[in-house]
Amino acid sequence: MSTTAKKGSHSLEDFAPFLRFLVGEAVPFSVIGGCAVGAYGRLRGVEVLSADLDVYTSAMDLYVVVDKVRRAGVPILKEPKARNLPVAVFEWEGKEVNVLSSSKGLPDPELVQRLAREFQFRSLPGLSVLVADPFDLLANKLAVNRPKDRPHIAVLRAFVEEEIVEAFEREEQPRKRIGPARRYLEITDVKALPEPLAGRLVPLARIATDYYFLANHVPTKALAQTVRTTAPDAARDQVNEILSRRRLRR
Amino acid sequence: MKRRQAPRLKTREQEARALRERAANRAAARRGEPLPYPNPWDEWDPTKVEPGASVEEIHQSYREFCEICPPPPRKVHIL
Repeated sequence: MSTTAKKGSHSLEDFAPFLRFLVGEAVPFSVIGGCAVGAYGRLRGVEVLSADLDVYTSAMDLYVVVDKVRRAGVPILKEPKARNLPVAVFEWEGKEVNVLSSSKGLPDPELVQRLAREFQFRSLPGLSVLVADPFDLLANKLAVNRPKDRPHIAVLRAFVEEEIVEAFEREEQPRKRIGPARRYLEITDVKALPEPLAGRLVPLARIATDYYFLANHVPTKALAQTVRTTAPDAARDQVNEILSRRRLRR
Repeated sequence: MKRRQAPRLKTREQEARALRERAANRAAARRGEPLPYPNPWDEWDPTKVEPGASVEEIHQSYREFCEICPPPPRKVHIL
């Protein structure tokens, strides 16, 4: 995470020389922080710039990165301290880079890498970089929740909400249809979906599991009534039973 | 500081039975006979290699296992 409150001015591509260096050294890593949010934001036409690049890697690989960076002639401005501050800070071609091995709300680096998404760049042929999954990033930003994280939270919420709607529109398998929405509820630690999102999902419900999920997680009586009346006959009894247990807002 | 004892996951009888079965398996393996208490995973996972397998055999087993149980595809975005 950034150590200063500098105004953001960089996108992920601005760190291409360092990213190529890391990829070339075969260090497993994923990008988190403002540059990662910026990458997802741009997919939806939103520009988010960052003062620095945050790289997330295992505790062991953090020291590998420090060693390789030092060998490349770059001085380490802040050394990682294993017990209390597992972050290394240095400047690569004048731009601040932070390498972390833990961050609030994020799973272990290995798991983040496994779920991370691959970003390729039209302007940078041959470079592909793993960027932490947007759901993991949102969990991280919600856990950290500094004033400067709040605009990032809004960008990530908008991004994952679009993916939730897309899953309802396009996926066929029940688990894939409702999986993103379930993850969103877990991350945000709420029982009911936000009303505008639930309002977009209800008309897209097609199969019984969609209706059971929505019966469990719509926030208002009006939406619950729509779920009740549009549910297929085979699912209606169970939908009614679920709704009878819910306490809903007007 | 007094060290807290870890909770028992198996009863003493279960533990004794497991140790007895392992000993019987070891003895059968020494005699070159089929194991009296085989691990069901040995049968269920056809890609499992024998102890002492070479690096190539382990890698081949990994590739075969990935065909049975492929890792989820990674989402790719282009900026």
